[in-house]
Amino acid sequence: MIHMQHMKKVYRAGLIETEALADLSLHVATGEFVAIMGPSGSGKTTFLNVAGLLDTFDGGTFTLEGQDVRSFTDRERTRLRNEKIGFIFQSFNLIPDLDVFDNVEVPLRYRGLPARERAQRVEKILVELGLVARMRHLPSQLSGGQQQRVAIARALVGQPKLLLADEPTGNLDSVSARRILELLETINTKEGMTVVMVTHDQEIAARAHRRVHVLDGRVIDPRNQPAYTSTSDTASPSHLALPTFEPEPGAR
Amino acid sequence: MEMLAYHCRLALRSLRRDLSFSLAMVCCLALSSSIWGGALAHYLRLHESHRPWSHQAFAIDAQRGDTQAAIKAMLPGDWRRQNIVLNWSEYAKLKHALACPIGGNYRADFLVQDQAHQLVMARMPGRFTDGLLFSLFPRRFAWGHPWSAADEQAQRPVVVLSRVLNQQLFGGANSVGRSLNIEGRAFRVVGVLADHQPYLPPWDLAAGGADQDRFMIPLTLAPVLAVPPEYETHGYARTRSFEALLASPKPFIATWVQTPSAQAVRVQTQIEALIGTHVLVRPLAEHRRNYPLPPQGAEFFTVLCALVILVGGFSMTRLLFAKSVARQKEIGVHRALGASRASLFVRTMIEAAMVALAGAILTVPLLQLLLWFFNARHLTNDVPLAFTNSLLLAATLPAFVVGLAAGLYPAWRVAHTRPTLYLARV
Repeated sequence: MIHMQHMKKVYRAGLIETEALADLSLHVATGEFVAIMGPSGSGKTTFLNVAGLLDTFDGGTFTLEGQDVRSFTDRERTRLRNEKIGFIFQSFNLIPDLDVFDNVEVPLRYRGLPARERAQRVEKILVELGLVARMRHLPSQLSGGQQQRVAIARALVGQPKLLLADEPTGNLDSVSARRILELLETINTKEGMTVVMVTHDQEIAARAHRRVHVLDGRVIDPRNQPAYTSTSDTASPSHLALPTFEPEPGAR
Repeated sequence: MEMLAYHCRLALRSLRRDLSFSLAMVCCLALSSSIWGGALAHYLRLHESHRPWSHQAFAIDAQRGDTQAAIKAMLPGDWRRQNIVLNWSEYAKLKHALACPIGGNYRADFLVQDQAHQLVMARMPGRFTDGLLFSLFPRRFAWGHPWSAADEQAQRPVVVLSRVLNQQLFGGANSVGRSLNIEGRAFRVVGVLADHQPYLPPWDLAAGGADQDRFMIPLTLAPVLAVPPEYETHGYARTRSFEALLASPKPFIATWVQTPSAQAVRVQTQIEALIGTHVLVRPLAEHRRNYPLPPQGAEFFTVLCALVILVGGFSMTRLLFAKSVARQKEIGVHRALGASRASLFVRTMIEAAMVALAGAILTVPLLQLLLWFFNARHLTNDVPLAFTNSLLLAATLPAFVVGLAAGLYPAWRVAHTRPTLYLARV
């Protein structure tokens, strides 16, 4: 799915240059669940930005599903982001004046799907995530766990092949965090979606297939393990089968 | 089309969310465009002010040495007000002896009372004039006609009302045959003018730019009513009696002759022989050259006000830009979810278009209010600023265009926002 070789990324602010990625090489196979770990400033975020085609890079090679992304135009990168990549943000990043339905619908709007198909897909994912009763609620009317589920629904509604999650449980209480993590595991194991998750939490990272440690823009192996190869390459899913969430009491 | 509707919906929500920003933008645009509209109305009033034209109209400019110095000291550099009037005896002499028609006039303050409506007695500017001026400088009549030569000779109390006075006293209705009390005498209305008096009327060689004449009465009535000229511009001392004024050499009558251009020099020679003073017979064209409409400075003022609308647009750009900066995180989310640069550009432009449209709409009542204020105060001239369709278009269209243009830079910036810059982490 993701193949990076000798990746370099330098941020420039005036005369100051900061090397965020320095010779980073990483391969994430299709269907793998990878946890990216590392201290602040280690390059995790930059890695995810580049992997999600949100940012460019200065050196090395990066292929996504076998395609060299360097040659992509901005329009092609935008289309790939929309069709193949789902994003889950730590702070949910829901659009405040759109209700749940409209928030989840956003990627499908940009894909140009017809209204009926959009509605079917959104309702289906909201049912699967137990949010259908909150369909017309604004984000401000939801709990943190509900908001993150909406964010996940938004990431999954386009049926992407790659899910990039940044500290998806970082802003949640332990119960909500556990449920979100179970959801991600289900998405990965049952649907075969590739999941790359950044986390600081060793316990959460332990539930991934593989933990990748990043330090100073490089992948390191604390136990001096040399190779980073996939062991669970599976077929990509055609549809989702997620654990059922019961509607909350009092939901309208 | 569906995507466009979606963009419109999101743009509208965005404007509603930052309502104070949105209102500030609309107000900036509407205020600036209504100021521009007001200035334009003023300019158009000057520009479109219809000044009657005649190839046979020549102003008599008596080049007298005795009053020239005093007048030049009083009104330095003013071509029109220097020696281009006659005294009463000169006027009377020319009126009776000159081969071609002659028309004199002067403006005065009259005590007026409307008999029918029992209005409070008021002083208002009117004009003694020869009937010739109605044909020399043709003016449209809403009702009636000028008084006749017989009226003039018989010193009949007849009056031609201005449009503004007819509106004030008779609600704009046909008032021909009605009576008006001027200086204690009942005057019969014989005609009502259809248009407002033009700015800088050519027949008035002694003054201009002030309030319109409210009415015109025959100059032959001047000795009867004994109302002195409005201005002391020609050395006339108000303390003296009107009879003394008529007998004195002090000039106060602006005088025109009607003659074919080819005979102007001969007429000039005739006048010089009759009054014994060096005279210039100046064609109306020269008057117009020296007093162009709009007057000098009007263009500058109008252009200056046109810049105000650009300032309004610039303020809108700044506000839109500030708004887009505040929303950069959301913009980053949209980019991450697959929004193209073009779609973000279009959405911001739609926001700008909505603000521009609202600004243009708000311009209409604001401009009406502004014109009402200026018309109510009639600061320099009581010819009202007109709220016309062309003015409406000229004020609102630039507001819309400037509003759209104001959105270009913020839209470009939004479209080129790096999604990672404000999404603290992916």
